[in-house]
Amino acid sequence: MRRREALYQVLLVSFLGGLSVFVLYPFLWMVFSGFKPPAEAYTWPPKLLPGRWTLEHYQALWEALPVGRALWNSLWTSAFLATSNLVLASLAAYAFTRLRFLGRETLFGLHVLSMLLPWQITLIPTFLLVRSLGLVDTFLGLLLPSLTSGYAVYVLGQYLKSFPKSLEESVLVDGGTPLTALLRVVLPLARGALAVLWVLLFLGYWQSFIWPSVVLSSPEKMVLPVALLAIQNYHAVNIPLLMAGTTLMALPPVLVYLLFQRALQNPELFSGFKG
Amino acid sequence: MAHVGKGGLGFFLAAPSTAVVAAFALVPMGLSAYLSLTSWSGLGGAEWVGLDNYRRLLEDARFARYLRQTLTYTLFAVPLGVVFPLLVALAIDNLKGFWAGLFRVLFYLPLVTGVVATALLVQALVGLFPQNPFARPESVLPALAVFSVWQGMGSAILLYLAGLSRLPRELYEAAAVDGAGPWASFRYVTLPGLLPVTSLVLVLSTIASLQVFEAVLFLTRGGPGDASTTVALYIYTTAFRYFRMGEATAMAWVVAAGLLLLVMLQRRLERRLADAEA
Repeated sequence: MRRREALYQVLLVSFLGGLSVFVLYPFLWMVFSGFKPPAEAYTWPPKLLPGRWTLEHYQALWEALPVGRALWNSLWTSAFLATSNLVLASLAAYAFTRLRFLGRETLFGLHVLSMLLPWQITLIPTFLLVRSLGLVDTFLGLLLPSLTSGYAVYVLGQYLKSFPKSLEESVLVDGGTPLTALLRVVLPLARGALAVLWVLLFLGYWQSFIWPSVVLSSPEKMVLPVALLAIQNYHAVNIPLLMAGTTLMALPPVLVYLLFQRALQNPELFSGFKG
Repeated sequence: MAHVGKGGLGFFLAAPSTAVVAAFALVPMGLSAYLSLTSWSGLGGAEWVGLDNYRRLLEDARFARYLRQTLTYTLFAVPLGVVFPLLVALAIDNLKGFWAGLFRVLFYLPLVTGVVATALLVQALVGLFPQNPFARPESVLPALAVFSVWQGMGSAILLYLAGLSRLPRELYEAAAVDGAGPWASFRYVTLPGLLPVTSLVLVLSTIASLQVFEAVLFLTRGGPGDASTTVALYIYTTAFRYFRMGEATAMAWVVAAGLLLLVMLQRRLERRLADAEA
């Protein structure tokens, strides 16, 4: 019986190990191809390791193409949006789950509706609104529509619902306002969940392509996915250059994921995540 | 703040988020419904054309073809996206400690990395193949479906694993007492127990498939020819390359009507899942 169990484990590990080659190989190929001299990047069957390592493609990305700039734009806009989402959504989610006020259900319903609307519906009118505000090709135009999201409000609301009220009540009994309860008790205690949500939002905005591609047009304002599409358009045959850029794009999410891996494996938070 | 009563405070806290959502979801929704009834190039005035845009869609052979291509893609992507992650999750669930943790992380990587980076990478790598499935009209849609399933399998695996961990142990013990072998306990305990999660994965992957966009743009640009152009890509190019905003919004509403139905179905399923847990 013991031996049968061990054999079973070996079978499962080899099944999954075989499948994971299809994940690992492309990723390793991407990383290594960015360091290959052009002559080595196009062989069939593909070679994994560079025979000679070179940094020329990273240099080209930095010097000839606006990729360093795009990397920076992606980093700060994603971090900014993740933070603003967290601030606005925690205030709103607290109001929706803990306080009574006129129109509470309607306003919460509006957030849910915004989460469910497909982007095809809102993209064009949002562009027209942003254009009528004179904000096309500005970072403000990129950020404004995404300062908060129905997703963040909904997820935080669900989290707060399961959060014990007794601690806040002690603040209220001591004469504190709901606002002090939120700032002194709820937010500090929820910091684990808030950190996870921040990371998820960051990853989501890091990947977002459609809105930045529509609203921004100057090369120096490009975010990384848009810059990479441009490189793919003009340098499609330059595999090592493209893979160096793709590695830059993949690196932050993979690092963040490996750091937060345990916390991020939470299906309640991830089910609305647009991967 | 003392003068703001309890009722006022709630409104005050919800106001910033609500203002953004109202301005960039509610207003655009109304505007888009209006635009779909006009002919507008994005500049100048919008001319009211009633249902003309919708009528034209009925006759637009390309819209019909792209809709068909989107459905074909969905027919490949959804069954694969429901079954394959289930197999992986079942295998991971039967593993112990280290290996389970390792494979969880591994199969999650493409999802975390995102569609854009993975599509760029796959496009370059598959471009080296002697036979590139993305370059042939007859294989491009299934190839895109395989890519999407590979890229997104992490979230379905995670949902299945959560579902598996919620199955009550006592049921397995009772089945064993009744003399059920591994197959019978899988067939009569595991599978029925996973039904709610499976239907959730089914609906989520259908919604995602019908809206597929970035994968197509970065892998094939809708080609070869227009063999892999999907409705979402057609809407995007109609609006932002040809500036036919009215037509594009009409298409968006046709797709959205189908999607909203699916989303409502998904929310009912999620609620039922939550009730089953409670």
